Amino acid sequence: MTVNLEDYTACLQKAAPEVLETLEATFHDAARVMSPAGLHDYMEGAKGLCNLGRGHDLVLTYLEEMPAVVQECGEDVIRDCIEAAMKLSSMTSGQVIALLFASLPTAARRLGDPELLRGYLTLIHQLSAKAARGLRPMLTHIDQLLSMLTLSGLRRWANFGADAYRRDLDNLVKYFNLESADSKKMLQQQRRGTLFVDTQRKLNFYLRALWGRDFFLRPTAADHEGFKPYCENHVIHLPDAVDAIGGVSGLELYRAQAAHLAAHLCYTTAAIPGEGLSPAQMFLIGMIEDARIEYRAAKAFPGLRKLWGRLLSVDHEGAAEHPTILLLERFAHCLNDDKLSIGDAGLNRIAARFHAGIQARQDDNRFSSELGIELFELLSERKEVPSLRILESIRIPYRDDNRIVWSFEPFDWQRDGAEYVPAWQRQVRKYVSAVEMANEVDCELAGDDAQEVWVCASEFMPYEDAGEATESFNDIDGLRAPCKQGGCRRRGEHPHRVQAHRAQDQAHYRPAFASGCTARAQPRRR
Amino acid sequence: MEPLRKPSDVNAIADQYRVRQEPYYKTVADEESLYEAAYARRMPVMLKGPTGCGKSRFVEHMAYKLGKPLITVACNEDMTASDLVGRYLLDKDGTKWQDGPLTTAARIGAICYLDEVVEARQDTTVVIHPLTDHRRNLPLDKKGELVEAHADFQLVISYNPGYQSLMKDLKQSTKQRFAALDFDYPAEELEVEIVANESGIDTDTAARLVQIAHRTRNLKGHGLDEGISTRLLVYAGQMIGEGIEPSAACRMTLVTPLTDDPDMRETLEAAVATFFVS
Repeated sequence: MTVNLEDYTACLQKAAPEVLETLEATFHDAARVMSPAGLHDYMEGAKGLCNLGRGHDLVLTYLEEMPAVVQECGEDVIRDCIEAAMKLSSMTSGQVIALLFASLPTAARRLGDPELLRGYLTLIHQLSAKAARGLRPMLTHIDQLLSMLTLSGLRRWANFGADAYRRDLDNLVKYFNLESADSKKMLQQQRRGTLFVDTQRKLNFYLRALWGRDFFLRPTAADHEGFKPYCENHVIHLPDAVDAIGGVSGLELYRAQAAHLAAHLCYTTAAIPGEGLSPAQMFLIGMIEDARIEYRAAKAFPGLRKLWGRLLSVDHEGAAEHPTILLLERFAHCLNDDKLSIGDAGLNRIAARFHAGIQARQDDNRFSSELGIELFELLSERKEVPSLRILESIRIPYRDDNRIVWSFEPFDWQRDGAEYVPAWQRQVRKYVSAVEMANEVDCELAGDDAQEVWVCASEFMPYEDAGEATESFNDIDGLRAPCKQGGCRRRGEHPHRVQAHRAQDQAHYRPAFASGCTARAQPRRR
Repeated sequence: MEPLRKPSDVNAIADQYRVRQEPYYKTVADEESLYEAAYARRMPVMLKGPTGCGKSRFVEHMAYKLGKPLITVACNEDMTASDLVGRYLLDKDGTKWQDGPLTTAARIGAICYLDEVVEARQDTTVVIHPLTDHRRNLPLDKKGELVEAHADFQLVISYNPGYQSLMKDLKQSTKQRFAALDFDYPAEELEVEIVANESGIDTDTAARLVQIAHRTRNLKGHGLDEGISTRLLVYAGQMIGEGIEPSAACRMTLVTPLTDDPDMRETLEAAVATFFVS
């Protein structure tokens, strides 16, 4: 698919001559971050907005801002943004739609996830129906609002204002303009301690420092009570904001959550078969499995035991919903620290068995299954097994929902290395000799998504006259190619693509080769 | 310095540059035997490796072992060819020739060690060319003298590949005059031994320091230009040996020198807290 600027000039010229000038300035930016399909959507969107008849300001803003949005959240959101603008056009003025587009780069940067950005667009649409007059002031303050609030917080703040001043338009505008006292108070109320977006870089550094590899981290709207982090398709989903708890700061809580999930990924080799197990049994096995992977991680990094221990010993406000929950919370702490015991002989016995056997079976998750079943039987005998809903209300703030324990699959480069790509976009990998490699012309602009990648079986050195005869191309580029026979990937540039998995074995390859200049010059984004 | 003529002059100058005390150096692989073989043929040697991994210490060690004087020049971008070779200076009697360190080394038969040679400009480093091939001489153009290198003279340069860039790199014509030895941080056990020995701390504490260093080396190219070097670990060990609390010692010697990025500092401090649990 190719996108020609000329195909759109007539239409855009008709709308306003300055649109064309802006497009010429932004097209190259857009082409750098979008695939042809994304670029097509981008141009079709511009055409659609021109035909909307709401002035050319919104088209200009759209053209200028969308590349930055795509850079943060991928090109799939282009259609959502256009759709949101079309919906808004029947409710509000073109200026407000332009303001919406102007707010999108900030929203994309602060929310950092396409799903959350879609949630933001939905919120704007809902507000246009409930409090259309509030949209303009809110969008002019979106920078300030999103620097303090998560999407859920913004939603609550906006809905409160929209509901409170539905018929009082003056106060509605003041509320959304952050001029009224209740607006500021509500803002403070909704403000969360630590936002994921402010912490992500630190967490990436932290995990890489500990395990020497990258992990996918994504924010997820934690707008309901009992949200737990989770890991799905090798992506670690963390809440979009957390509050400090029991003397543990938000950053430390994030670290504890991220390290716990990273430990699952690093120290799990196979899923535990869940067939024939009741939900309560699965929950209790998951608890022991948590303790096992934490033991492994804490053995390598002793400070983690202390960090997790601090969160396990937090005094929670209010009573637990069921006495067993309190018991299990203490039991989890006992598994973390072999010097602790609780006033329950049965649980102490299981904890003692855990500590006695963990050294020998630290890599065996069947150990977790056995002890988990034993724990279940102990509680069943006492008729103290609560429902799954109650079990899941256990107050251990850093642990995940353990879906990874039951669905873990080793990383498969063929399957997971990239998400679905149409056949015409699929990358061809060729294994060639050094002579073939030397006689080919590489395309220096080709990214990870070049149409062809050639792999040379031996170390490939530059020509002498290129000024680098003592180092291979891999050395020069600082690459440790994660290649295996039949499957080789480079690290994706985009945060939502595969992050660097340091492979054990190395092959040597030139990053991207174009046979007859067929390598795509732009990275594909999703 | 007057040109050296008499053997007694040569010996007197050479004595100044002798390494008198045996430096602590732990052999990592076969680098000693390789270096000795290269020295036997007076082959110029290039030492490549990250900062603080023991390149300079190795040269000192070899100079001591071979019993040769060692003249070390810390290269910088303001260094000129005259700084290496020598220049005429003015005094009350008129002008007087002053040998530079390279000329001195060539005359007395020392090992001349050009530390961080890429820091010097490329046009400066070409003066070493005639000394590094079969000619083994150094033309002093301004003086009109051709200095024949002493039979014991050898040139060694160090080079950190991490710093190379288009602007700072050795010319191929310079690079290809040297045999090269690759250096890296020692393996974990060896590094623990080195840190414990150099700083006088127990091996458990040294092992923790090495673990912290490994964490930062994971971040090389991902926010850090270089990980913590063995030299910094020795500093940290020495501070701990002086009775400073480990986390404070690590902050001063391992975290603060390495980066100014606040996010990275927090990460490094977290890495320290991971191994020095208070």
